[in-house]
Amino acid sequence: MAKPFLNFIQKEKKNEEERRKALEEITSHQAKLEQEEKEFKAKMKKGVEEEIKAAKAQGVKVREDIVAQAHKEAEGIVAQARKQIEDERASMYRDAKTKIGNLSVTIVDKALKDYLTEDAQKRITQHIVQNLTKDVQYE
Amino acid sequence: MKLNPQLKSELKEYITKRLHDQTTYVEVVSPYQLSQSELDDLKKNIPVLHQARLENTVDGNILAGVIIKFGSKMIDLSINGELGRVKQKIINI
Repeated sequence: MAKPFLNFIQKEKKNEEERRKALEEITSHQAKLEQEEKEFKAKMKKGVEEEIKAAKAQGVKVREDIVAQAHKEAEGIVAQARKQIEDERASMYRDAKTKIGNLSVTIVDKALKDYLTEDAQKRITQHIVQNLTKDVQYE
Repeated sequence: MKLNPQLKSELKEYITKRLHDQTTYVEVVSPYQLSQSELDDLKKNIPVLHQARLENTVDGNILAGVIIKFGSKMIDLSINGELGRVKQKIINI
């Protein structure tokens, strides 16, 4: 009777040992998994932070590009408007000078028509004919 | 085609005369009919008119002075022309 009991005890011990080893193994494996999970989470967090940082930087750059482009377009519009104003001013100035010239000549023409008698006309014409060597212009 | 020599010489003479008349025809536009002495003064003072035949035309729109036209050229010695030049100077200021 002692021998079977001894065998049973030994078997139980053996089983106990195996269970202990299995538990140790599981515990160790679990710790390892937890460590891996922790590292993975840290790695993910770092990756996400880097992506967010890159996206923010890109966003800032895009905003700066848009602002610069808008400034450039605004400057172009302002320059074009200034040129247009200058062109219109020059055109108005030309028109004013033409009108002044036309009006001045018309006034003088009418005044001379009223003022010039036949005698005066002849005297002036004779003076011009006799002094032709000065400022003769071909047209 | 052979031309009759007499006809040829007469034709040549006619064409030469016409050409001569055209090159020396000069129109003088004035506000009144110019006298011969005035026309002579013109001929004396303008070299190109020395050998020319002057034709005087009256234009009441001319205030004073004369306009001389020969071929495609013109010499404007009228007050109207001077006023036009003054107008251009005002416009070109």
